[in-house]
Amino acid sequence: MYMFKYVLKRLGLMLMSFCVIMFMCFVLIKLLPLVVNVQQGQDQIILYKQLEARGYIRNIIIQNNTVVSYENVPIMVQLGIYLKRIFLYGDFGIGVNIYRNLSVWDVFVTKLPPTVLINIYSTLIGVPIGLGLGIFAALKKNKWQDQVVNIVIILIICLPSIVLGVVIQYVFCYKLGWFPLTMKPGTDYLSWSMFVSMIPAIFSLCLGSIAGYARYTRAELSEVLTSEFMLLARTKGLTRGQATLRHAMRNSMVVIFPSILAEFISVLSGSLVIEAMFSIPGVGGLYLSAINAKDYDFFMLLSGFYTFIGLLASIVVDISYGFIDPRIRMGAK
Amino acid sequence: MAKKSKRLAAIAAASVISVTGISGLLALTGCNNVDLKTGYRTYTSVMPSNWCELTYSDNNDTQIMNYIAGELFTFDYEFDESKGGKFKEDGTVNADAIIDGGYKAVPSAATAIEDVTTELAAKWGFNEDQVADGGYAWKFTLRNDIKWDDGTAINARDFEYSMKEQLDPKFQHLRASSYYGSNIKIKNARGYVYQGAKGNGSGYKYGTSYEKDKDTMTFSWTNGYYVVEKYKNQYKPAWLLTAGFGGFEGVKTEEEGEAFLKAWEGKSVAECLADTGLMKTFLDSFLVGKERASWTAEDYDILLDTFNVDYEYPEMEFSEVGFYAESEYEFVIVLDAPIYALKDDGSLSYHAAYEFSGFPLVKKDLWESCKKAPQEGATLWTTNYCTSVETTASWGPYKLTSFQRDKQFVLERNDNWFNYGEADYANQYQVKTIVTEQIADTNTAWMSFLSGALDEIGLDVNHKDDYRNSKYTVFAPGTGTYAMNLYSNLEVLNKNGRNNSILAIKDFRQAVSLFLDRDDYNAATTTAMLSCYGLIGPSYYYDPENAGVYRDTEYAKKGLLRVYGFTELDGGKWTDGTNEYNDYEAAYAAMKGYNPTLAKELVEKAYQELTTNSAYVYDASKPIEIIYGTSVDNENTRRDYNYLVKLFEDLTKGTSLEGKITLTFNASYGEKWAEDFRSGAYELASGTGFGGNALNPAGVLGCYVDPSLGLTYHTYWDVYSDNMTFTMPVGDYSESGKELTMSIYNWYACVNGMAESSNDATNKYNWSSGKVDEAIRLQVMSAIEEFILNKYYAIITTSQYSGSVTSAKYSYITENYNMYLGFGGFRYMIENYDDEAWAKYVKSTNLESEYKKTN
Amino acid sequence: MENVNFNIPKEKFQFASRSDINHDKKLDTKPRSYMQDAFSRFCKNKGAVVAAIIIICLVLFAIIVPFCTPYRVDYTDNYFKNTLPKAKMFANTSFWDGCEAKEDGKLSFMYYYAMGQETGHNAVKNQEYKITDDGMYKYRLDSYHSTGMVYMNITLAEYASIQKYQNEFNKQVIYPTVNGDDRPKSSQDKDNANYYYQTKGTSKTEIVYDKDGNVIPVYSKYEKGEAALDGGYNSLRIEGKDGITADGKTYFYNYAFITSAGVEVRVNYYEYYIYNHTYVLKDGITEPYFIFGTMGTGQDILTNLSSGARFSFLFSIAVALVNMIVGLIYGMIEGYYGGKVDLVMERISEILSAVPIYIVITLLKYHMGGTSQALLLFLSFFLTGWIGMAGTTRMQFYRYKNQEYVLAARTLGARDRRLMWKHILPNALGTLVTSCALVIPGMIYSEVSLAYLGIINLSTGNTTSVGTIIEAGQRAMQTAPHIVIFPSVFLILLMLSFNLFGNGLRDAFNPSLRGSEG
Repeated sequence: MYMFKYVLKRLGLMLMSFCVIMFMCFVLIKLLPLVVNVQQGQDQIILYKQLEARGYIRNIIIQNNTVVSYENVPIMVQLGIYLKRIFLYGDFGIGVNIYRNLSVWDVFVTKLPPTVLINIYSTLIGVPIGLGLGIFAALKKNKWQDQVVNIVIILIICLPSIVLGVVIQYVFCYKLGWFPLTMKPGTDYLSWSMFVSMIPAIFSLCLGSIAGYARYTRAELSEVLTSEFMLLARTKGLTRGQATLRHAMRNSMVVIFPSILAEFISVLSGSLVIEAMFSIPGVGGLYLSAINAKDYDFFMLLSGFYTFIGLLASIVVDISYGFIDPRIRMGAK
Repeated sequence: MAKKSKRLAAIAAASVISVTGISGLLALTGCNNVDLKTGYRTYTSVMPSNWCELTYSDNNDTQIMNYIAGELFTFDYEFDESKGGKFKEDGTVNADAIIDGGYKAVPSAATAIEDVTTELAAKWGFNEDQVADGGYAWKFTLRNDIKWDDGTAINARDFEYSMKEQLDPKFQHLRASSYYGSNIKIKNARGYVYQGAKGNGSGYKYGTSYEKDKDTMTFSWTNGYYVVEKYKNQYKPAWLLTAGFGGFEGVKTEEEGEAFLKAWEGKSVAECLADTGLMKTFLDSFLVGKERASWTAEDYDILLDTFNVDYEYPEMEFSEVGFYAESEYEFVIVLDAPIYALKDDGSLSYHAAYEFSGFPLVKKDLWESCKKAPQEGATLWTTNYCTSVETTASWGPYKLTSFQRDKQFVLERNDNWFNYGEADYANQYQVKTIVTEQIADTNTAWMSFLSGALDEIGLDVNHKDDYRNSKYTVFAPGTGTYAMNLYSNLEVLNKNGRNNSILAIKDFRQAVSLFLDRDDYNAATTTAMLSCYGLIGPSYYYDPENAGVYRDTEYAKKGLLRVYGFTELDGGKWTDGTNEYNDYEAAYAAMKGYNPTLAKELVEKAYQELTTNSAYVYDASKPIEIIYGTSVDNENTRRDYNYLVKLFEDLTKGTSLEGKITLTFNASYGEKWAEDFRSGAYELASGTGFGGNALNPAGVLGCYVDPSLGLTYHTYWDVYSDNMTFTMPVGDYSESGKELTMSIYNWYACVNGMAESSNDATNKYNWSSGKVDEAIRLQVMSAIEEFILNKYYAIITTSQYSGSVTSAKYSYITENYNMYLGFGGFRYMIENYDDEAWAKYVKSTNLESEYKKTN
Repeated sequence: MENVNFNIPKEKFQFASRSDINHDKKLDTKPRSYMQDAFSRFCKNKGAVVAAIIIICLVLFAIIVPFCTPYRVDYTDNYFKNTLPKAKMFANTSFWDGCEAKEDGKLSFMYYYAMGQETGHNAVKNQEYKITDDGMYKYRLDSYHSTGMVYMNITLAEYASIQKYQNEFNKQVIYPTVNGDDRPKSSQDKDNANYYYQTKGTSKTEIVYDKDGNVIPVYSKYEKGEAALDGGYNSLRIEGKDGITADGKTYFYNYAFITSAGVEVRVNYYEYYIYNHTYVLKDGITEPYFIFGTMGTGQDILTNLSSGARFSFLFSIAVALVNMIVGLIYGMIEGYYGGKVDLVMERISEILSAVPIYIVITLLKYHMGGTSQALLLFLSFFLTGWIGMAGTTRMQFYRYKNQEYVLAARTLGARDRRLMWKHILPNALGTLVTSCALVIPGMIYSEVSLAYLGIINLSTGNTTSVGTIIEAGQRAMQTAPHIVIFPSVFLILLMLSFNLFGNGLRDAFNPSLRGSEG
């Protein structure tokens, strides 16, 4: 019962945090100066009129066919319009500078699957390998296998992903020709050829996380292996394998599980580099270009998406502690 | 016990091996399946997002637009009949007969074009000399077999419907201004788009004239300023007292001036004129020495000029706009500024295929279905026409068959295109499909190219040395010229507290220009660029007929010589102060724009002026700080900045300014960098470029001297009153031989034939191309260029030049770049291997070494 | 169990006097403080010791090398760009000799081969090459001489100074120049000083060969007795003192063209580099010699890497310390007190960590104008850096705060602060140290992606960082991989040593491991 009450409380708090964060994002992006860059052959007045139409500026003063001054609509009023648009019409707005006139929601929905898919695949492949390596290294602590695994991990973890990606692409896709250089176009995301075309990108992403999991598992496991209850379990007659799997692993999961979640989230937004390299039409680069282009509607939708996932993940992590280690009651006195 | 731990280790190891094994196995099955796509494969770093002719935002969107729209008139190569004309016996195109640099305008979707200025003179109010000139109204006759890719017929009414949609005020489409703001100025197009919009400015200028609107225009007092004709200088009431009027009875102090002006707000201009009190004394004092009765319409208009009026664009029907369908296959366009689409002998001039290459065309039913009403809180309609395969219709050589956002789009041959059956197009358009993939990373693009998956790639600095001499590489000049801008508005410099008022002294700016070794600068800071000394780059043609390059003319060369410190001696000899050259050609060869000794003398001269003339605020104890402003902080801007820091150090070494000048880097201006430079927030903007239409060198000058284009960075330069004196060369035209003194803007307007329609040009001469013979225009153009360069507001450094490598699958018909046809485009591209043959070829050859082969 | 009597002989017993009452024996081992104990356990772990040594070497590399290299970080060069690494001792091997194996068509090969023929500075190493069956030329291109000749506009004073240098050191810097209309016609090659021979072609340049396949020099020359066009050149001449005779007349070469700046000369850039640095600037650089090669901007990688490492070390230590302290305190309070305090503090850190960093940095850049990038980088790491540390600490505290010994300590009346510092923190120290140890490499790692996204650019004047070099190298990885190799090797060594060092530290500080070292 305690758990249910706690989850409810946390969900309530999450909503509150979500609103505060979204408000802060809205104000922050609106603080950046509005910019209208007129290109050769474009009419300045029409550009300002379109911004006026979107509710960002008002009473433009035109003198001798050039815009002399305009007034920014106060942020609160703009917030009002924005919220009314979402709740009454379910319309998240349209692109201003990037994807001009296209509905923000449609663009986002069409570009989301590749990113999510890449991250799920990389976690599915990354976690087992990572844990496996970690356990193997912990068991063979300080023996030659441990050192070898350790060095391999470090070699992978320290090469920045932009360098690692290029090496993988150059060797496997260009020289050996095992995989196509870029992801296969088309929306048949679950087809075999699509998966093969994504393997180099998946490897570039998950090598980093494999090393992370292995390192965490090894550190936690080796520490737990020396604790008293392991001694007790062994003396009770459990085999070493049973003791490790049932007791040691469960105890070290306290740290490992949140790192898996954290890795999933960071990869979600961090796959920009890999998406540019393997030309994956995901949402990786969308966030940064929305900020640079000051596309308010795009920025707000994406901030909402990443914030929501971040908050949800932190709740799942806190609840998972309870399951993994009953003694821990998050928030207990 | 030990056994168990081994088993556990085995389990862990097994799980690791199994998972890597599986993915390895997967890999093997897919080995070497580099799927080569069909047809012509190219790539882009930014995919188009909206390729509708009415609303497209930038060049990326034209990647689809150029191929799904037909052309009324188009360009084609000129083929030398003596070498067998266009086709060989076997029907293929005879590449050797192509005349290098030649071109001709040919009909495509339109079959004929006719100048109907005289017939429509009455209806649209053209005066006699406009009718005599001709070129103000044109009638186009269309082919009767033009169809959309789904077979629906197209006729002249579709063109009229599309132009009406393009100018629809409910939408305010971004590209509406192409039909009133640039070369093509359709009558009343601007009025139609702006209808209902309110504006504020001097009445005389904006489509209002005293006769027609004296009752509707109301006098206005705008937020505390009394705005007069030169909108930049907004005068406070004090203007009344000091601007040469010394005030008049009843208005001696500012408060009285303000009260006087406020009292008349909202009254119609007619009422002002009918007043007998203070307003009458003011108006009479305005036109001193002229009895009110003897005022002409001209006087009223000038007077109106001083009034600031609220005007509102009246409601307007599309029938009043100069674009309508006369019959099923004929439509008429009526212009404010003439375009000479026909040569004297009646054949098509390049204007026909350039300005009149096409007008917007949308598929009516599809367009109506894509319209979206304004959202909550918005006031404008929007459309998603041409943003996906379903919302796209094509009447050009290709049609869009697949589009995946930010990934790939495919264009395939549109069999309903009217030209495919034509004899002149036999054995052309061998490219059946064009596949464009988005690849943002240049490493990936090069690997795709070298594994045979791409058919073209740009030559970047990293690969230049390997592929420069390859037989697959072609080079092409660009029209962009880049400059370094020095902010020189003394008023603002004095107040910015950075002690850098020396920038307002021309000698100092000229010293910076003379101390810049452009070859060294371009080698250090740019990739594949050429040094450039004039506003107009080497790829501009003054005489497109026979490829006459402006930069190679005698007048252009002499202009530059004078700018860069050469003086002409009698007998055609030239000298640069130390050496003597026997003709301008030798002098031009020796001119590098780089004269360090002269530069240091000028710095010394500027320093004397700075310290003696009190107009310059200068504190000798403090350093001179100049801010190098930019929008982005990356390797290129940093390299450019470091080069200029060294330049200022060496320039001032050995002068009284040694060690006094510090250049600080500031990249916080972001997209507002242009506005900030214009307002004087920083003083040095490097690498700003202008490019224009390669056939209209005179037009490019507008980027520097035409404020209405909104492009010049030096808005403080009052081009309306900065006069230039020039003796017109002798020729058979009215102004021949006269010495004229006009504002630099006025000279620009005359040489572009805009003086007549521009209110800021007091003298209304018309020397546009075709009006006077070319030699005269050239001399005026080079004089204007020399005058602008001599200001040293913009120091020109670089002009565009780039190379690209093509694959072995396709080859261009000729390696020589043509200003209109490039290298022949898809029309003349030759397919060497079809898809199967290409796949075999890729497997059998090492492309990396093949593409390094030289001829 | 039977009664076992032992018969202990009487004489074994002695009377004990009061004085030698048997107290506990004085400890014969010296008292070992917690630190000493940790240090001795640390030394036993061979991996950790090796790691410590590597770290010390890297730190020394970062401190010493910038002093002993003649180049400065912001020293750039127009022509020695992407020059390959070169170590003198490997000169005649084909490893680390500043050369690159090439396979080119005839035109590209001859372009380099002709350079060696004119000046003796062979761009094609030892002028050796092999021709493959399909007509391609295989050779090693020396990146120090691939620039060859360059046209330069110099003042008359500099012209005289070079001639004085040539006479003094008997080194040929200026070579005969070529007339304007003998130079290549295509725009991209018309200013290329390496075409000192006949060429043809307007859009692309092709070499004209004489009958036995050699290039035909077209130097600008003047007949003996006529006026020279090169503003008085009287120094070393490649055609010799008394010129060359052709069809009965003796000719001399022109060595310069008079221009508005002074003269335009054709110089061998390698020799000019030595002249400029030893004779004019006298800045300690005796010849172009880049052990790690140069970057795309001509900056020496060895200098940049070492001073970049210095900056990265200092910067990450500073950020790590600040993050550690703030994070530790925040996490302790949060973890220990739990309940309402935890909920509120968790919300605060949650909100702070959810605010998108990119937008905060962009805003900072707008409002802070031209301030140094380093401060910006520090803020961007600090704003959310400490939250990670606070999270880990909170986790550890939740884990240990209900442990038995803590409960015991509390029942004995220990106050909260003592409980936190004395009891819970040492246990948590192990994980904290591990995660903290990886902050420095992690810092460089994220610096690379920030530079890649164009948010932070550190190459201002004399400061640079390891991340900036890797990011710059990544773009040219295909053609100049050497730029990325050295910083990556540095990063690998750094990560390897810090990881082992971190593990070693953790085991050392873990009291429960006392005496159980393997």
